[in-house]
Amino acid sequence: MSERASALPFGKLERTLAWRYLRAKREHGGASLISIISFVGIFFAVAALIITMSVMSGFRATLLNAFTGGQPHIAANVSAYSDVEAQEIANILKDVDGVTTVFPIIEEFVLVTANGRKNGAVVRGVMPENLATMKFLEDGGQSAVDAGFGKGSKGGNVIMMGEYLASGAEGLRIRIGDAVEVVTTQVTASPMGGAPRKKGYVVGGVFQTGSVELDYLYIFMPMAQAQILFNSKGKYESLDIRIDNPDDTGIVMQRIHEATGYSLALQDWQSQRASYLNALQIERTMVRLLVMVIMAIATLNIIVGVVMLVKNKTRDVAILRTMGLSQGGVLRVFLMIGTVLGTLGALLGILVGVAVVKNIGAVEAFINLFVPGNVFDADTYGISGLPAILDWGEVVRTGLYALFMSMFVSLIPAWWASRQDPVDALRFE
Amino acid sequence: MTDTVLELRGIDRVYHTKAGDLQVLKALDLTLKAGELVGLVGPSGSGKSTLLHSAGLLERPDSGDVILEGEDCYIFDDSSQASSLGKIYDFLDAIPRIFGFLKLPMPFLEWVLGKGERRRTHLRRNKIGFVYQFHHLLPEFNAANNIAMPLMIAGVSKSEASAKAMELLAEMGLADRGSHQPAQMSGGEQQRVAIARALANSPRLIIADEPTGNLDPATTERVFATLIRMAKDEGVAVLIATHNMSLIRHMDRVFTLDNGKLIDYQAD
Repeated sequence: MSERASALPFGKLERTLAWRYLRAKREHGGASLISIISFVGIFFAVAALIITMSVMSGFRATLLNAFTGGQPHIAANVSAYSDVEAQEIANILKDVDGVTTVFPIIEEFVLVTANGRKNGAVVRGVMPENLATMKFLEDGGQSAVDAGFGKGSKGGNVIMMGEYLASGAEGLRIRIGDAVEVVTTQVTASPMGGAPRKKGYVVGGVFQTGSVELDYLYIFMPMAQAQILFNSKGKYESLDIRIDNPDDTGIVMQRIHEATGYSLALQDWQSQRASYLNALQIERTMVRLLVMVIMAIATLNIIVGVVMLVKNKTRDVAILRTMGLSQGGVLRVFLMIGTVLGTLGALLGILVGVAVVKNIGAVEAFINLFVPGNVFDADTYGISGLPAILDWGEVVRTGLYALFMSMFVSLIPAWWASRQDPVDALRFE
Repeated sequence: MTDTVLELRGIDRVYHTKAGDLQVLKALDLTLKAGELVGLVGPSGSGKSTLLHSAGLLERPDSGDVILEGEDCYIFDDSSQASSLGKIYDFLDAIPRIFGFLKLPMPFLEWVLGKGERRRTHLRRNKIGFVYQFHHLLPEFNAANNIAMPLMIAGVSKSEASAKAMELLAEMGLADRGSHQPAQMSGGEQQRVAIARALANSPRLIIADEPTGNLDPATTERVFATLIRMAKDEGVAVLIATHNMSLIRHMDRVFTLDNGKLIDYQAD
């Protein structure tokens, strides 16, 4: 008979052998409990990584949305200019590529008191017509305007404040329509001596930026009233510049510098929040690393599972070797078994992970059924609700990592299986 | 095609045990011609299995040549190139584990040195069939698939291999047992399937180690008749180790191992 070549690597024969051994009954030395454990371990690790990273992405996005919605993307200091000059600068900036809106603001730290409670806060003086550009205001601030925000002599006495500052556990515990007193850091001289400037206001509306931190901090006041309260008549403190993509502040700042001849001091939200962003990034990296280590540990079980399978199948392997199955063929059979175990675990983990992320609201509600109170309490976590954003890139990376780890760890027992001497197995029959 | 199928020349095999060296084969010579049935008898531990493993290219003798259809099966291993690489390999292997990084080239050397082993695997796949006392069928596969296995390992398509398997099952009188798992068959049936599997790749040499050791006399005769038919009709050389003295009358030649050497068997 003419000499034949051999079955193709990873061909039908090797796949059939791997599949049969994977499905072999326990009494035939098939998949052991440890194989099932390794499968379950990888499944949980992959699902955990996807869910954790998605929740962290959602957490980050929610916070960044809150930051970028509640504060200027870029702030240009115009305190050295008159309000007319500042408005002219604002008109120039509106034409810069990437800039969507520009409006003047004043920001000052204050003490706000009501019902015998007091909180530190930041008053932001804004023009009533600019409320509509703030995306987090659901009705564009119309309800506050209807309640009198910006109306009356010198802007009136109606203000808006963050919901948690108004009614949070650590807030003033007031409702819309209640009166508050705002005390500034500026001192007014009088015959009786110096006294802080202060004035009473009525809360005409509350808002939620999505960040509890900001909602505990900010008060919006009509610009005309803020100029009087902070003794800044005819002046603004800075220009609130909003841009198309808040991540592109660097490019837009360069364009603004070029448009204004480098005459403005600019600061973007990223530099203001640098420590926060860095902390988020470090946290994200560390959590990813941690779960990847857990996944690596889970895949290590594959070694034990495949080793036990190899030990159970030593005689079969010897017979296959006498029939001419190459060492490479034996290696590939057991490599496929380990890889399939890991891949199936990873696929199921991806399915469950994606399903959980897509239904995170229902999952949160389900968990709350068993946990007294609200497990993701806004006051504690700084965000309302459990956010999750599915990053398909992360899903693909996780799947590939699980596949790589499964293949890598399977190589060890597969190599060992291929090096078994068939004579040893057959000698002791 | 040469008339001589297997030639063993000056085979030595020594086992190094704690109790001392044990020389199992000593300057052993054996030639098997096509269509010849050669019997090997002797007590357990006399070296029959070692001889069969050496003849079947599963165990390398310490010295001597194994020549299958004119091809020296260890020629690469004995070449000066392999010898030099082997010395490097042995040197790296002896390095303490703490300097493990120095062992990195070892897999590559193994691959190069494995050229001879790959060739022997190829020869086993195409020219040798094995039959053991315990049939050693793969429990996950039915009878037909067990027989088709060597063909599929040799790259034959599943359909072609299955057709050949059914043909062999019919020759063994097991035409209706193709879809049965080994556990659903009797010992004799399993052994006949094992013989069919050994014949599947149309080997030039069949090595059988106590092929009828677990069978009743009637089944033994039937199994043996199959081996004789293969030798006489197909020109296959058959080397059989057996304790069953009633079978030696069917053999062309019978040897026994005495102190590591083959001598003609003389019935008492």
